[in-house]
Amino acid sequence: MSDELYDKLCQSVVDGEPEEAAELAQMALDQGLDPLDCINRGLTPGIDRVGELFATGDYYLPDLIIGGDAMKAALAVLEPALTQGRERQIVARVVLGTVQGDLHEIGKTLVGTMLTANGFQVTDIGVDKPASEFVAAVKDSGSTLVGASALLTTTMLHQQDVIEALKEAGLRDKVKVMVGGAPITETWADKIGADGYAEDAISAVALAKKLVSG
Amino acid sequence: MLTELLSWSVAERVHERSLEILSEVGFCVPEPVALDRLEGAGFPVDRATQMVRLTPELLDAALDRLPHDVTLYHRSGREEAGFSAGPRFMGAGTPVNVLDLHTGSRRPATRQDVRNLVRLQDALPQVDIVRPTVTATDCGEYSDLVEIAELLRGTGKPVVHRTLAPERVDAAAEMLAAVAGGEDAFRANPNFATLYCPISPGYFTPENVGCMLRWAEHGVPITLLSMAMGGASAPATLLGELVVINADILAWIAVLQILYPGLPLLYGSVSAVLDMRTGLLPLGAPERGMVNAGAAIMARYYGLLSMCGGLSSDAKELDAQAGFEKAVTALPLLSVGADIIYGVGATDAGSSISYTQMILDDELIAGLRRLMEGIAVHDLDEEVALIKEKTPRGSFLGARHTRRVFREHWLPNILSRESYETWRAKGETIEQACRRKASELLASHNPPPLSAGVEAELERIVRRYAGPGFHFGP
Repeated sequence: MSDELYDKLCQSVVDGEPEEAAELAQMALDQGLDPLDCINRGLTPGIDRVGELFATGDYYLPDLIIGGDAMKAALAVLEPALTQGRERQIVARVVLGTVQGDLHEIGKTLVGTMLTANGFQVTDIGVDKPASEFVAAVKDSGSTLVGASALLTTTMLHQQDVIEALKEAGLRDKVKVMVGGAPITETWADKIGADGYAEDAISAVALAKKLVSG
Repeated sequence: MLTELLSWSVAERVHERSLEILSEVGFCVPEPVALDRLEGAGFPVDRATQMVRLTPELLDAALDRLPHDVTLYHRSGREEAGFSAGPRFMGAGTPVNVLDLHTGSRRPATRQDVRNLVRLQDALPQVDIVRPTVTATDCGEYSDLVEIAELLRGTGKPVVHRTLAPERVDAAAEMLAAVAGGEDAFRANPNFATLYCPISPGYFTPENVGCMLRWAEHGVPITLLSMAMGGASAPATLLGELVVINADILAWIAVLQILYPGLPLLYGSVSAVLDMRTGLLPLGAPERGMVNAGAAIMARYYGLLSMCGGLSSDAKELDAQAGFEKAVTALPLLSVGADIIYGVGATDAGSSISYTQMILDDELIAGLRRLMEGIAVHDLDEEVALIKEKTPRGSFLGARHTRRVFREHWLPNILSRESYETWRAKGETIEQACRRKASELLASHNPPPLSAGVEAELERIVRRYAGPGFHFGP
């Protein structure tokens, strides 16, 4: 019975059905299944499958995002039920935000979805955020990774402010900083002293994994 | 058929569905002073959400006031930009990267690049409207004023640019007045239009709201330039995306005409659809030409000049992809009669401007313009007499008729039509030819000068922001 429910949870992520995923998660809890098993044997294989289908060219970004949303919807039900010592294993904690003066959020949110799906604990502080809010969120969440997004050529300068503010707060050697957005280049990332740049959400996940393991 | 890309009845449907969205949901105006004014003018305003709704009555009043005789002039104020003669081609912009003229590698653009690229656009005969095309990344916060100064000094052609902050609009308008010989002279024959992009759907930043209202005080033509991304900031169908494009523009046509009756406006779209494999925004896709051609038709529906993104490419160098994409994004715009085609010099999905691409674009435009002339239909008496005389097996090469009319055939300057042996002996690729021509033009072309007094005035205005070190130099 439980195996069948794990399979259904997995499939709801692969099919990208957030409402169904949340219902299944609630059903699993009602039946007394262990929430960590639901994550590890249902959701994680599901999102891995989504990733494989994307890698083979069968899935596209909308499939990834809605698959990630299904996973998040089920996690929202399961995570509060996790018991001490049986917590979800996370790769790392990460703060994401769009820098001050910039209101663009599609790319940043996409990166957040992909990181969540890949086992990161994401604190998304939103758009138009001054450097001080990035720093505060790092302190509050205990994150070891920061992602600063900027779409405009005029706001990309504020990515540097985030790095400077982390230095001033004495946190720079404790966190890695990655930057992204349409006008951003490797050269720019090097110039402002970021630890890395990724050109899209998929490579952002690879970069994040590299930065937290290195 | 492209010419039937969007019928009049479909345009009407796009209009009606846009109005449905604007009257039921509205659009966000995140600027308290603007909200006060809109509420005072009769727009239903929700203070808590900063949402403004457009009623059909307000829209009718706005469309009644909308001027339909908007045009742009050359800097001299004497010569009109020539919209009646067909599409006008405009420089792209304004990314922070340039592909270096000598190495072809991408690097941050500087004020010197702005100056060079403005000069090139002034020199190239197929470029009608000039943009800075790149951001002067070495000029910091006040790059907008520096770029406008370089535009006004570096070309006699009509120019298009924007400021980034409302507090700098007055200084920019002062420069326009200095060049025109007063603000009234500018308003009578404007050589400058500005442009602002919404964040689709339904939002302009407070800075952009502030800038537009300030420019409107000076009577400067404003382009409402949608940059919708199908599948991301708009529906993924082209018709659905067009509704977002149109609603965002229509909202501000109404705002600006109610607050500033008769203000000259242009209808713009540099929209595209997202690449669902990467999330990047390709600008060389067929869909881009199609959706912006749809926008050109909507512009005509309202009797406005259209400014449409096309002649664009995602290629990283001057290659086959660049040639294909430039053509495929320009042709739909040409076939529907877009007024301004926005893309000269652009490559790398609009993230870089290329000197060599700009030279080749001039050549492509000339070819495309020839294409759009179509087959001239006329009395055939002379030709038929000649055919009778030459049949059978005669030659037309030496006929007076041939000598008189063949010049209508287009002859390229850069594309290779010589024999293989000649091409081989010359040993120059298209890219090398473009590089050589760009270097020659930069060395030889002198744009029509401003008077020393006006130049000094522009320097004085920019110095108020950029500091005492600003000067034009040689």
